[in-house]
Amino acid sequence: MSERNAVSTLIIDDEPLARAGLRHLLQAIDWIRCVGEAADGQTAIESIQRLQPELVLLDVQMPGCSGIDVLRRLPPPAPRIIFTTAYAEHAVAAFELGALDYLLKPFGAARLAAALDRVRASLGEPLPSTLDRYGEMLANGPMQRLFVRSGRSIQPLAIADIHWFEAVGDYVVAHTQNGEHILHLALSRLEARLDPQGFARIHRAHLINLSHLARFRRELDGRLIAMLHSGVELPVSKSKAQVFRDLAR
Amino acid sequence: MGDGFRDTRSHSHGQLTGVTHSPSPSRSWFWLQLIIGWLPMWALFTVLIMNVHGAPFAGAAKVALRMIVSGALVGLGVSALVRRCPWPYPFRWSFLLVHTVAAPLYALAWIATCSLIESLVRWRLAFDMGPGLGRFVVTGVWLYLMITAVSYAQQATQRTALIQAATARAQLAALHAQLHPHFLFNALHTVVQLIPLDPAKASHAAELLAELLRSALDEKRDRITLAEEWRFVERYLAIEQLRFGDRLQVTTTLPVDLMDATLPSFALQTLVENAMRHGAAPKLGATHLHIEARIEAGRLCLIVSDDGVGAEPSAMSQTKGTGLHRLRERLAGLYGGNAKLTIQASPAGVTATLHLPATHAALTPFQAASNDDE
Repeated sequence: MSERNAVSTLIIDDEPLARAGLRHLLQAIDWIRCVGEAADGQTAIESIQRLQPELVLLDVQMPGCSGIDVLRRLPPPAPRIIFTTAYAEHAVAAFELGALDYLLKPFGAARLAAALDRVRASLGEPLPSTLDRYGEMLANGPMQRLFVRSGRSIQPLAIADIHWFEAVGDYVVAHTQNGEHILHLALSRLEARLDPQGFARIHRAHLINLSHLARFRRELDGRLIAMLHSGVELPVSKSKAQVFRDLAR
Repeated sequence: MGDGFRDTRSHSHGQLTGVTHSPSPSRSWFWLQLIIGWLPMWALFTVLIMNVHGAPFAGAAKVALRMIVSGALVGLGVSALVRRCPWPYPFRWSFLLVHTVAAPLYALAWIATCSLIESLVRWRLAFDMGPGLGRFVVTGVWLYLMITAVSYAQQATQRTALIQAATARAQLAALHAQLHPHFLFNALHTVVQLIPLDPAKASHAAELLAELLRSALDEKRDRITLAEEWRFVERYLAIEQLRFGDRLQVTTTLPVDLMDATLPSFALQTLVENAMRHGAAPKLGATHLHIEARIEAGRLCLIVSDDGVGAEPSAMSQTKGTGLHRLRERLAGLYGGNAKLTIQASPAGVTATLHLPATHAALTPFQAASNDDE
């Protein structure tokens, strides 16, 4: 499941060792899946169009066609791009072209991790603090997946697989088929990043995935209960119930 | 991308030369200098006219002013001639000939200008004969000598300043040129990537890099032996080999008996680095680099050829501020006209050939012993 939801990533660098090093670094990251490599600009363009990766780690100095030119020539929508290069002078052009980050060689795991935080922000993850506004700015559309921390690793979780969110104190519990995941953020902040057509806030503390909703049931006392396919029953607050009744009418 | 980078570098180089090459002060300063320089001459001429002709001070000063102003005006032409005809190193007789012809011409032009000013002042045609034509011409030649002497002295001062600036610039540029910052960053990246993949290889690469840096920082000699130069180039290529993998093939023809021949330090490195950056790095496939040393007509030939992306011949010869340009400057300084760097560029690759006088390191017994060991 983690494999399916992992962010597909392409490595492009003309130096074999630089590619091997990046591959090694990325292997340690659960939510990243390397889908391929390319050693020159022309092959890079073809690979990006064929494999449709979500993230590309792109070298600037390459034979044939530079990384900057690769990004210029790509028909939209371009994947998320992190440039990797020993040359600082192309940074302005890179950011103008909408690059997520610009890694100056030599870099190691720590700097790469910071760039990958930005990738997650751009994928729609509402980061606990407003650490990376830039990544969030570049995010487009409602988020499709969440990244949950389990132990020291970060796991991708498809939004579609989440049945409902529950606010518990300062954090949120995401309920799925396979268990519960704790997210350290406010439910309202999470709700803002989700597709409003797909999710409904039925209660101060409950946000349900409408594709997992079986039906609503009215109790004898007039209370409304949301019944999920999983069998979970959640109460709808009075004010929200009114909204649903209005919708049904 | 490579081109973009080269532009930036030549630009910064241009700025540097702009600062060091312009001892020429502002225009007003030039005129002030000219006036101050000629003032004592005016005083001298006034005193001479007063003594020789017994003229009153005011009259003498007026006549002297006329002579000095015309002398200075025609003198501007002499300064221009001095700029066009710098002091030759080594001395040439044609230089003397130019000034032997120019001196009497100056004297005549001076007299003519004096007369012209006289005519303009009196508003009728007047020939200013001063102390007689012969003496007037001799005075003119004397003035000419004064002007040329001052001009050449100025030129020598500027030349010294330029040489000092060039030396400082060369020292600064040496590390920058021999071990390009981007080479260093890329090499460091290779080391960092190797650490988890192959720790033994990583530490070997770090050692190579440290040795390269040490040589580049420590080497103060202008000329070193081919053996020493090759040790440096070999390490450089070993790191490039790590980076480029199969994309780089290196072959050498370096006869053992030429290894104690001398060459300017980092000369071979400049040629190899140039081949790597502009030949091998931009090429998609493998690049073959061949390095050869041989004796040709009693001269040492160092040849670096690559079958990389190649270049237009015109583009190769005109890039200023590159490693090759600096190497040419150094060759001129070290060997005068006795060394030659030729670049044969075609779309099939580039061959750089360095022709040097075949000089061998003066072998002290100690060095001879250590050479035997190798």
